[in-house]
Amino acid sequence: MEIYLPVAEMAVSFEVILGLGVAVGMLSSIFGVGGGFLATPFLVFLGVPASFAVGTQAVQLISSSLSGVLGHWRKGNVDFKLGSVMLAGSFFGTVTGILIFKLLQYTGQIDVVINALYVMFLGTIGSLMLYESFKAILKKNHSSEPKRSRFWTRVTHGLPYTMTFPRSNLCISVIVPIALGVIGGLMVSVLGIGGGFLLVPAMIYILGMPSSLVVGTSMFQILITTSLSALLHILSNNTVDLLLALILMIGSLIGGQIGVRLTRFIKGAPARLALALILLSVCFMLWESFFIEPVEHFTTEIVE
Amino acid sequence: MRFLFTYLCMILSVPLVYAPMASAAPNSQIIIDMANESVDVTTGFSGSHIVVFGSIDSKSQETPASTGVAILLKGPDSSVIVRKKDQIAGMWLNSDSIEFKNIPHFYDYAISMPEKDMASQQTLTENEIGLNTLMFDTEDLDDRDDIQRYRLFQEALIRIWQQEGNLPLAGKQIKFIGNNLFRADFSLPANIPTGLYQVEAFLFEKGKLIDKRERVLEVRQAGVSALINHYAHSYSLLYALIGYAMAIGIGMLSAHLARKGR
Repeated sequence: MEIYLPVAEMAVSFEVILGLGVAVGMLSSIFGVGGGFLATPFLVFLGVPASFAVGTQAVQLISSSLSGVLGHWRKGNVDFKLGSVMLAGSFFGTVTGILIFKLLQYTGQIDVVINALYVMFLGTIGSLMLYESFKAILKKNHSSEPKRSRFWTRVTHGLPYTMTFPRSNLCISVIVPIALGVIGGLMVSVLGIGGGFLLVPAMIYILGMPSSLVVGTSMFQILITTSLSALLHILSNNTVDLLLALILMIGSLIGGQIGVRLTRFIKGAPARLALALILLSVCFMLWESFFIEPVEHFTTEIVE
Repeated sequence: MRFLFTYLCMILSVPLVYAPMASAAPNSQIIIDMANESVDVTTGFSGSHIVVFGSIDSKSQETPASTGVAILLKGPDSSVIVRKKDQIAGMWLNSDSIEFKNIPHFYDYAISMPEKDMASQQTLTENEIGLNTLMFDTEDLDDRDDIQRYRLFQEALIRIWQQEGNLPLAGKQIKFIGNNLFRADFSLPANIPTGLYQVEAFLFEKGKLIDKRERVLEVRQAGVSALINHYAHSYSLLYALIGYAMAIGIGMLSAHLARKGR
């Protein structure tokens, strides 16, 4: 069934969008990632302009991160103080990101840059995760708790403005979480992804946070950042289609329920291995668009 | 007195103004109408059919074989940037582009006989009848200097828009019902732009343009779709708040279900 998107002013297949939402919901409930890395490139692939894919994705991220935060909050797994410090950076990152986005739109390279960034991020994270999960499966040591790397401890040691974070049992310079926040804000506003897959390991290895608190805290950070990003996308570019967002969110709600029932069977290292393979295949799909000669060398864009 | 004089002049001038029209009456005329004056683009919109029908009021003794009819359906004008991908350091990136001005975002036409039999190329071009008569303007003069490059981009735009259904592959055939009554069927794809469309009808006799009629067809969003679009553009803040409410509602529902499902 074709459905007409009122703000993007185009028709898309309802089933395909709903299916995409279901896939995103399953990913987030099984692996605890937002799934934006899957939704945004696929929407672009379906012909939705990159600006609408990123803007709409910001709204869908609100619902997925909110449900995540609520779950972790109930268990007391959110460090609000650290999250708020990160937010100072995310606000700056989001506003900068929106400006970068406009600039890229103006120069006509937005699709190319978004693709390239996706290839870079997904490729790096996917291969690291693949390596790590293989190692874990072979060694069978699931018990080892990931720790702050010694390299980052040395690098961030002498920085000023230290602050204590009792919840995470940390005493670190605020510059590091703020810098991570800037990256998070940029990812939300330029790429339409929460960036949890990058921030979660960074918070463990660079900040040295206990891994039980990391996911909840990063989701709290994403929730506030993506709310701001959605607002700015609506006010400055009008590139949010709520009908598209609604279909994605409903799909994601259904997918989440399926995912919850599947988590009993998919756990630990094999789950991370599966996620790594998904990341790498999306990466490969996008990578292809760069290196294989396109059938149609030309593209058109309407400017009002 | 002066008022009366002005009034008198006005009354007397009426026949003068209409006189040329009245003397043109012996000429053949074309009349058209549409089954629908507007197209409603709703949430379930998946394209639409436009039926233009009309009749020829023939005053000349010509046989129907020498009368040609052309009907155009033109969408709102827009500017289009056409970009070309080139291999740069092994990667296919956007490199060159041309911006075309005032291109109808949708164009289709129907004819009763082959274009070349209907009128001279010049007449066809003046009235934009036929795909190859579309004007491709640019503001950048440098773009026009390199004819070969210009043609390449122009052909690419036509090719892509033909695939998307915004331009026809060839003219449609006008169906005659009897000698004077005719109809032309157009189909609009699901992704057409909204706005005012022009329906133009031309009557040719022996290669000469005899009569021309214009109608306007409005393609507009309607129902829920129009409401959402209106709010998005006119009340952006409210639109954002509705988005928040939706996302928060579904997020909380999802958290609630996740807790129960455990």
